[in-house]
Amino acid sequence: MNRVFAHGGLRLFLLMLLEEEPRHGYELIRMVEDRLLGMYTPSAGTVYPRLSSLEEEGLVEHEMIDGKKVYRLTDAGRAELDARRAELSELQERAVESARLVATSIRDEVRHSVRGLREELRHAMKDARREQRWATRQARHEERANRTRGDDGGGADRLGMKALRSDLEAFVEDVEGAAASGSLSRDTLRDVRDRLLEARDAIFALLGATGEADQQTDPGEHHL
Amino acid sequence: MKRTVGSDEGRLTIDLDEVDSVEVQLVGGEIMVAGSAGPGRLEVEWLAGPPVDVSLEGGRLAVRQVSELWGLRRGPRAAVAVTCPPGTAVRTRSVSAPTVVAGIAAAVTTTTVSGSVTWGYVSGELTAHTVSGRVDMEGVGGALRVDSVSGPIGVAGGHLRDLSVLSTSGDVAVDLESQRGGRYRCRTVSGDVAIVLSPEADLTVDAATISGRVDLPADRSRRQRGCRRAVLGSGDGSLRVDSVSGRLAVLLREPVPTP
Repeated sequence: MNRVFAHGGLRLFLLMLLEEEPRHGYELIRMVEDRLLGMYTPSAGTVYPRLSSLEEEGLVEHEMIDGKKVYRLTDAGRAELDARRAELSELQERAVESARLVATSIRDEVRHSVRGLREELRHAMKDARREQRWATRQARHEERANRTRGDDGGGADRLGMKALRSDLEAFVEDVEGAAASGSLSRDTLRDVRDRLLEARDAIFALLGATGEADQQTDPGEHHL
Repeated sequence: MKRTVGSDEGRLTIDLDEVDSVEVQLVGGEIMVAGSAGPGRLEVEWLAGPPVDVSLEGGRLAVRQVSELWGLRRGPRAAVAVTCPPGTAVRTRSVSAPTVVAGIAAAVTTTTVSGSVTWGYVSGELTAHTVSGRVDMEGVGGALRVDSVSGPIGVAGGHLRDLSVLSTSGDVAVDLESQRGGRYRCRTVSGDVAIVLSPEADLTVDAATISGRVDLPADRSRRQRGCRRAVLGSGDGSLRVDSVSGRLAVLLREPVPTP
């Protein structure tokens, strides 16, 4: 159940860990995981039989301490390890260079970069929209100032105008959305236009003369 | 050479002395291919389902685990990791297995249904197809084509001379800052598109949308819908972004002030 060790690699790795100091089985499992940067966690079912067979071969021995088997290297085990030192260093090198490890770290790095890019774009888009809104408001304000020069109070209802504008925008979005999801026959379209004209008249009645003026503010902005 | 890896073997590791193309086809599990200067190596781990077939003939490595019962919840699964020379052509296919490709300078094609696609430092003729998997890329070069239905697409940096992105509802984020010119095209239906460019770019930017908003650099117009154009620098290269309802934003990355 691993692709780090091949041909008895785990066996050799266990001998190496026992050379450092005597350890019990669970400790060995954790050590293997640590040494391989979490890339591979051997199961108890993999490690314990391995230790038993090493014991049968006379390479390790155990004693019971506090009810746990603590394994230590025998002289024969040390000799085996010395004979295969070259193999061991290659094994360690390979474990670190495993394609899986390389790929995992690159994947994390790439995802991190893409997250950063999305974050940056989100902020930049917000700024762009703010700038755009500012420019729009500025232009609108100038227009108004020209139109109502001498009227005084040109800026008094700016907030009101802003609210109205976003309401109108939302209205347009909603209507467009509804029109896009259904079928839009010639008759339906005519009915919709009649309703829009009625609504327009009703709103103009509410706004009085101001309504007439605002109607001309923005020709072509929304093709209602 | 032909081998199979099933429940008996569990795993297989082989050295690849000579390999010039890699093809991996899995249902579930994971696929990882990394270019490396050292000797090539294949690591296959069988996890579930029918045995994995491995063949290496005339420099062509093929690893396949298929099933007639694709899409079953407990379907075939295997983990395949390959290290190979950077010049190796790579082709991967999967249903749900996520795919990572790194450090390859050759043709690379990844096709997946729901698995994620992650490419790092890959250049050449590049193609990625996905239905719902996310696509994350960094340091990609050459000509890139990405198709997605709902998976989001992110390309962070690179040196692409040619880019074609097609998405239905997935959002698209692309960093083209290191490019002054080239041919780039991004199309979506409802996904948002955001592209960042260098202030020194020489590109003609065309944006077209039916109901989405448009933000282009150096565009003070109050109208933010329909077809828009911005000419940056000499305008030699081209960037086209289109959507039906997705928002289109092309932004310039302000240079970091040097103290």
